[in-house]
Amino acid sequence: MKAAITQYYPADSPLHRADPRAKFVAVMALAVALFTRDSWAALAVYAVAGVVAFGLSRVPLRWVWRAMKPVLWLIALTFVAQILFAPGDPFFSLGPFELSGEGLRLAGFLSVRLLVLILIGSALTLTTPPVALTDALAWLGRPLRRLRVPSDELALMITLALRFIPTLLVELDTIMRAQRARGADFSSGGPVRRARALIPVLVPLFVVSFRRADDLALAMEARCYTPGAPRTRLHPLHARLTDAFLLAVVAAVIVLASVI
Amino acid sequence: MVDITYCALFAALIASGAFVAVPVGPVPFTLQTLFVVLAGMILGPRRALLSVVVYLSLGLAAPVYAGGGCGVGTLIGPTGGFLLGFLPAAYAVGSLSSSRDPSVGRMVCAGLGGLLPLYALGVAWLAAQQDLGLAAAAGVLPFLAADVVKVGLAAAVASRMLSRPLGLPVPQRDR
Repeated sequence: MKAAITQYYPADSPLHRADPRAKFVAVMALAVALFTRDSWAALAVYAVAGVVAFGLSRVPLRWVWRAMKPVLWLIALTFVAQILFAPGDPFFSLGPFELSGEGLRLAGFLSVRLLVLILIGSALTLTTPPVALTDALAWLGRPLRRLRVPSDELALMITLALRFIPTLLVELDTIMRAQRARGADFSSGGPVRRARALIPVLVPLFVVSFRRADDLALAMEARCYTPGAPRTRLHPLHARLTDAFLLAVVAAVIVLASVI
Repeated sequence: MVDITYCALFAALIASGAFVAVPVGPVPFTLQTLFVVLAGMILGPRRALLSVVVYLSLGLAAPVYAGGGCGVGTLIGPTGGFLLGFLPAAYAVGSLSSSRDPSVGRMVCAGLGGLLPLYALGVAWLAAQQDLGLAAAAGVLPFLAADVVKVGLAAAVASRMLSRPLGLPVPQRDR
């Protein structure tokens, strides 16, 4: 069972030291800009940006590969779909399967774009611990307070949820063992039977979890937590000149990609 | 206050659903849709929606999306439609179910009503982004079958939780 739910790779690099708010805005802007132009040249600019960011981060290649693995089946599916339904002149055909240069080019473009997207996205999650990112989200969400979106409470809920996950997994494991000891069988029969076998796991899980959530609410109230009240932080965020530089570089990359 | 802890709890449940995979044939049977649907049934529409918002934001920071994915890339990537689809799904299930009628039949209908926007958004998003068209629609069919089973399971659990005779500790629904 996973002990820590995080993709963070601890190291000391310019990217690790950058302010999480600046990193979040930079990655968000790059990821959205990636979809605005359908040209190989623009894609190449973003790919270079992604590789440079990755080089700066001092994260081993293995970790990036781990982030990319889940999308490989999707890339395979894209190629299969292009082989089956591609428009354009086929240059090779075998029965109902036709390969067209255009279809393959399109599938290649979509796949490379997906890999670049994951590369840019993981530059953020590999170099920033979840709690710092949550603080950044709370700060960036502050203007939404005017629309009655409780950004600080949302950040608190994210932190609490992160803390709940390992507890829940342990709880789930305990309940499943307890039910197995009483003769429950989770691994035989059809899908419906297996689903039914989970009812005596889920009901106790909810009973335990609701009790825990009630206790937590009571404990927070007892410590005078007031929703909506201004709060201070143990580690306040500090933006430096290098963060402005990071944002300027990202803006330059996006401009370059949109004129090239 | 209870809002905060319950929504955090359900966000954590949806997230841990990604780690619990019960293998049924080739399709990994993760429990995510189960918990999204259950959030709607047990918490009601508003808090269920908030739980999914917390889950999705959590995913920007930690690898809690299905398959250990995380970050902006996964959220706006090709399969992101299925994640964003949790939002209308949770709200729809919450609106369609009712604590006054916790019968399994009503819960199943509410759950199926929630799958509709989830799959509409997920398939449309996937098809548009990777230029897949029909292949995408065909590719998600096994997942849809598994999700229908999950809705049945969620309905059975929610019905048991909300039925009076058992008297289990259940938060008040927001509607």
